[in-house]
Amino acid sequence: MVFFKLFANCIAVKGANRSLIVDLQKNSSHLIPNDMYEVLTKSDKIEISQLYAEYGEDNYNTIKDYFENLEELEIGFFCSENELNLFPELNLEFHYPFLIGNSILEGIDEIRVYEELIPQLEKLGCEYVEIILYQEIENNLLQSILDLFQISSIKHIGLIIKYDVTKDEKFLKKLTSTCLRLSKIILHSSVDEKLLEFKSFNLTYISYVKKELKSFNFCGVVDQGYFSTKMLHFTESQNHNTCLNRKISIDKDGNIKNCPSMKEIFGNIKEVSLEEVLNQTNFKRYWSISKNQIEVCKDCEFRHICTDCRAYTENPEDQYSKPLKCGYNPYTNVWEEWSTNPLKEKAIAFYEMSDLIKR
Amino acid sequence: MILIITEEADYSSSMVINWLLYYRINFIRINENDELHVECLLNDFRITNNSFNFLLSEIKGMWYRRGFLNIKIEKSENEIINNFKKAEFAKLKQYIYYKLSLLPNINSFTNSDVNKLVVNDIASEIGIITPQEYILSSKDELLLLDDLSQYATKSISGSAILDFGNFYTIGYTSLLNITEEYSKFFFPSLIQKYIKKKYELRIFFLHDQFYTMAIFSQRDETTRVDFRNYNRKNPNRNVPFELPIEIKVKLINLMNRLKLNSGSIDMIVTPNNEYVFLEVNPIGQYGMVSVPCNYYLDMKIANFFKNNTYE
Ligand code: SF4
Repeated sequence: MVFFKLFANCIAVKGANRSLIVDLQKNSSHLIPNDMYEVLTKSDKIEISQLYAEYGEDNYNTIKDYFENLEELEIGFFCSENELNLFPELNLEFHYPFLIGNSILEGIDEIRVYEELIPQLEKLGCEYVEIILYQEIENNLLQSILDLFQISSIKHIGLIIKYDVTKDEKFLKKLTSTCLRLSKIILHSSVDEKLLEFKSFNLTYISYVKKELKSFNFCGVVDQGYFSTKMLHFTESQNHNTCLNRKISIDKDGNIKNCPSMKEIFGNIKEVSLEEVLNQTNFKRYWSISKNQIEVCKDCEFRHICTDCRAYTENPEDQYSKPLKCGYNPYTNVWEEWSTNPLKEKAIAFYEMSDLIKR
Repeated sequence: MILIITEEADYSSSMVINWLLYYRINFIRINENDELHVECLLNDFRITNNSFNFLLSEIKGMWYRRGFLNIKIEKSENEIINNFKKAEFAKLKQYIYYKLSLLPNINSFTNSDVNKLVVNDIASEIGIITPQEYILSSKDELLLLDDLSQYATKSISGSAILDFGNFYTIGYTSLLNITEEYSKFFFPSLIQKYIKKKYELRIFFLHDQFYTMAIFSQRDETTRVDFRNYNRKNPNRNVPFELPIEIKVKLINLMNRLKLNSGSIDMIVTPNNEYVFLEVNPIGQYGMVSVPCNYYLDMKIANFFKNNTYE
């Protein structure tokens, strides 16, 4: 008796029109037709020759080829009856030992504010801090801000800052050698677009981009380049929002929000601590909105490797609406430019994003 | 308060500590290179270091991860007196380890140094299949074995990483290739018959629970004998595995005999579905089992202290 089983860390996700096998160990993914998805849900219960019989002679070769291909790709294996019980499914639990995973500090260029925020973020376990500045910042001040993180438990820092001539490679070399926590630096409003060799900058990913950032409305783009086949992402996405879960953001006025693009303010750092804000149940409202609940996404084969955005959605009134900046249609399997889609015009106008639109 | 005895570079300790912090469980991490002073009080010991200071009686649980307590002894001029002091101190240290072993714990220093040869004897007594193996030190004896190319040699002590300062060597298992150059007598070596494998098992055992991972490695010639000989381009497939109940019973039996409540066990499943026991390592790395199988072993270790210690 022979059966066919996917390896436990290769998980098939069914979409409206086709399915995706996500390989969580080797971090890759493979598209398969929905008919094959159905076959795979049975092939570890029904013996293979019986399965072939059930699908008839016409389908025999196709199914056989798929099995053999999946075996060749080491995504699944043929096994005997007594082995079936030895290979349990992967548990898709997600646990995280920190109250906050990442935070975004928007437009803050006062040392005093960082001095106040860093211990608070440490207390919440925050692992990653992203600092974004639309305005220019003087190099010494930037260095002093980063120095404050030196003895903190914050592990990684991302910088999005405005380019000026003093932000040359020499300065960046110095910055990345004094602050090993820097994992990325993006310089907006640059003269040209370039990517620096990250090996020469203590493994910091550095890119210059021409575009000037004036607000956070550049964020929220859904693109295959952002897909993640990591175990942590896939499991988190089962019951959580992969963008907003365990995120907190603070803007230049001290307002505490879920992310810089969200309108709602939950307090101000001058009056409340970050911990107090976390304890307001409302603050965590979006954390548990998973793709399974979001319109359209719930039918999409990419839903568990995709990113999400609750700030810019197709229908700004509906918190379960699809991310505005996704151009994928899971019913037709076609990717299109989202910004020129006539159905999205209203939402684009609502968010005052017309300056972002490619024409 | 939980005491963690470990090494500075041990990543797993840091991961477990993340969970202890999250649960707000107090802990002290002692690395092997932390020099300790012991002050003897009426009914207690005070253990101090530059960065911590605690009473033995404050400790309510212990995780012996690896390493040892590096307690400083004040040296005397006289070597004979020094040796006597050392012997006295060794007993005192043993007593501290003993006191700690009475607490809810994951492993203890005393049982952590297992002997592969003894373990294999006990395992076969219990009825666990073990590889056919010999300890040999001469070519003549070696040549008495049939089909020598089916044997491999392994270190008896387990670890075979040698640091020569400007380079280091890692020992891995490879099949014997007896040539003329073999000297007549050689250093006592463990010779083990190669076992055909369907898959290898890496088992993390924690308080009678099994967290097992199967490694499908046979397809790939580079990893045929020892999977430490990694193929990085196409890594082996690692998946969760459920041990048959009769194997679990035997392994629990073995761990009880060895007085180990936790450890990493290696086994092989042969094409005939035999479960062959290779070794147990009480202080082995478990991260490579935890991650691909999504077992959250760091959390499970922390959970033990959350559920079994009361301040
Ligand atoms: S529809 Fe778009 S946003 Fe939704 S899951 Fe699919 S790719 Fe992601």
